[in-house]
Amino acid sequence: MDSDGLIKLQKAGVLKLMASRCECIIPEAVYKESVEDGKRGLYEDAFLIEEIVEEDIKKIKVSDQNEELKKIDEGKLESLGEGEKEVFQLYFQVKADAIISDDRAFLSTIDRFRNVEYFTPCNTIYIMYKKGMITKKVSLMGLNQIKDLVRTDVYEKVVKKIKGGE
Amino acid sequence: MGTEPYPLRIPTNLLKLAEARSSEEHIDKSTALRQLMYKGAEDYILELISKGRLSVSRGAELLDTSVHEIYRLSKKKGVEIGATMDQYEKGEKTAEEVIR
Repeated sequence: MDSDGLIKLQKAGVLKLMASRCECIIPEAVYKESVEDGKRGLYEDAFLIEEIVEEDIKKIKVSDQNEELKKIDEGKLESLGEGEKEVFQLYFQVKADAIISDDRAFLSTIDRFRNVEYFTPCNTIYIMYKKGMITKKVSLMGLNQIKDLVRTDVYEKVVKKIKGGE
Repeated sequence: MGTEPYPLRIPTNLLKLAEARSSEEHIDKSTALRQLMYKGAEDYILELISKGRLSVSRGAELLDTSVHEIYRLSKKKGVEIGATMDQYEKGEKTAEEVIR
């Protein structure tokens, strides 16, 4: 999970549930970006994420031997921050099932790799609702919380699917 | 954030604007100019993030701020960020398989 996935799932109120249902891991750079840098700026989400990470999410150090970044074109690599770079490396290091992110640039970079799976916070909310982990009310409230941080067409599509009971 | 000198000719109007800001905000003219440049950089970085040319994390690094602040700015300025519809649709099958 990158900082984008972590922060949006927290804002939507489903991060703790997600972390209790799936084995979620983050690299150290993501912890720094979302918790340490956020706490320095006194962002409330950073304090709440810290609590959830302490209890339910594993922080993993990217191995010094990890050379996965060499697979990414130099130009594309320049567009990514430390957090995303470490997430990409960690994905291969621990043979993860998927990356959770909502970052357009990061997802378009990993889209080039057929062997990298990903999904977004909006996917997460919809699937949690579909599988009965959260109610319709909770899923719509969660989406509303991140409404300003996701694309309007995506937001409207997920709301429509949930309201329509798809 | 590190700084370094750079030779630059600045339009007179912008210098006048910096002077106005300087007296308004009780700061020196150079600081006022830097603040104006920073505001322009913020807008440009948000635009690049929205277009998918820069990640949120990289944008925060370039502005020497946090990812939380990038979200606050994008919300305040009404800049759309986040995965595209194609990316959302592509992620649905994986989410279905992974979330149990």
